[in-house]
Amino acid sequence: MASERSSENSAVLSFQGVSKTYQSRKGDVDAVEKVDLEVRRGEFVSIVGPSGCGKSTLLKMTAGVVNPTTGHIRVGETSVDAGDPPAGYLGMVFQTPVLLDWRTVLENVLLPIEILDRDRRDARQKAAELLSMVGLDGFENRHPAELSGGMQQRVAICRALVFDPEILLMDEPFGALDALTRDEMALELLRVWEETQKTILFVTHSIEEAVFLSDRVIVMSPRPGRVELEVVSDLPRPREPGLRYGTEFGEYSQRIRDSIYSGRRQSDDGKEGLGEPLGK
Amino acid sequence: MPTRWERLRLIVAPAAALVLLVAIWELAARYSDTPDFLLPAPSELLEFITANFGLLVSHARATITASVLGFLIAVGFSLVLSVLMVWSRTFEATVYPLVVITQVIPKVAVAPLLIVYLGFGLAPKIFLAFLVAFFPLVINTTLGLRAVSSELLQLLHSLKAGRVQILMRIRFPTALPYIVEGAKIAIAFAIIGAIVGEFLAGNRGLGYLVNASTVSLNTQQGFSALIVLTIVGVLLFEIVQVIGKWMLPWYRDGERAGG
Repeated sequence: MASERSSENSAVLSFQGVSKTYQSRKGDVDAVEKVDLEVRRGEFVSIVGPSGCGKSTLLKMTAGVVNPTTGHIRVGETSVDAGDPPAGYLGMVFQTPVLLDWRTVLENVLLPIEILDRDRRDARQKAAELLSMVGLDGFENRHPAELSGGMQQRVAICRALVFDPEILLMDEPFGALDALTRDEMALELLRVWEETQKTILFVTHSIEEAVFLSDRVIVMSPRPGRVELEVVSDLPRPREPGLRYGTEFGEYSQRIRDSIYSGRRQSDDGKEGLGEPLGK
Repeated sequence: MPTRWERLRLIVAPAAALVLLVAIWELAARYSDTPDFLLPAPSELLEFITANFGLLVSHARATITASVLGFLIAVGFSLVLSVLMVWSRTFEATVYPLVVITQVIPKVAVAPLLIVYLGFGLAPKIFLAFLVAFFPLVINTTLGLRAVSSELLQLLHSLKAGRVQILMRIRFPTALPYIVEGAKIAIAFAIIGAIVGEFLAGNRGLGYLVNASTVSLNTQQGFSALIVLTIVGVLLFEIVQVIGKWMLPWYRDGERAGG
């Protein structure tokens, strides 16, 4: 299935020599340096790396919230070097669900439809389908506070998909969930991905999560964030939970881990443990 | 889950404390040598209030009118001001210091001037009520309008949401709990503002009545006016609280509803 998708071979998202330097009082901070990356239609790409490797900056630049210092970013046919990606092209999911407390689940999912001023009747149908796809039928009229963290994040995913965006940008979407819910959500996301045929750019701290989900894993090094390694995964689709115990899975994870650790040793902050934020 | 007695306790205990306080007051007034014009007994005050109910109510009405009008103007004014401050950093930098200046100037000092400018009627009282009430509202409303997470703003940006859309759909509902909390402080302040105005000029309102009574050592009337004032204050506060709760069914005193 994966090969079928990538054979289309059309990049819906591309970074060309993208660097981002933040100006701060203590001087310039290079968050991202010379990143080249192309994401093809329908591909599932993960970005892994320790804190401070510019993963989130990369996503923010894609969304046009932050502009690159040098280089070019293209979303679909549009250049977003100076912000403003095409409206309705990107769906976004964050670590926290950021739902609106005063709206019901259904109303939350429909928020982008209202903003984009699209037909609400069609969208209601679509929203109901998505909610049922993630196992939330019957919860349409509940409020976010009545749902568990995992359920809230499912609602956030539905909200990101309801307007049929080309690309789903996910910034550590399962980072705030417990380990069990996390694995469950990963499987669910893969199912949603298969059914909706979206392109997904997925940022995570978890090497295993990235390997389990992706067609391709991009490993980034911290300060400045650079592409350190690119791993193309041949793990069979659809991915089954048992895959995690296989040798192939272990090899992919090992390669990524080695790459991150060797990057660590070279950096000044090498003594810190994995997953710890690097120097502020 | 609190038991029935635990819930009942929350009503019984404060009521008992109030009764005890009044009882001590009554006993102290009756069995001490304190003259009546210094400390009238609660029973006498109750008698006075029943006998002069019409008078007290008509003065209370003037105070309520001034406080509520001042309060409502403050709500509208602070809303507009806060939106503009959230939208424009320049506007905020310009206006915020002016807002602070209006608050640090002692109201009692400018009140006589206000009476010269605005006359002896209702206008200076409304203005004073407004002047003290709008400050907590501006502070809280601005804070509330800004309390939108950066992720949500990022999401809205990617959808190309306009600032009016963001204001109406996101910022305003987010700010509502903050505005309600600010309104609770503001209504109490508004009453004080109106009273200060009534103290200084005119012949209407509970503030006027308290002042006129103490000057003429009519302590019974003064105390009665204070009691009515207290009741008016508590009632207005409760009304704001109830309206606030009704507007925020999803929000319970800083906690999220449900689980």
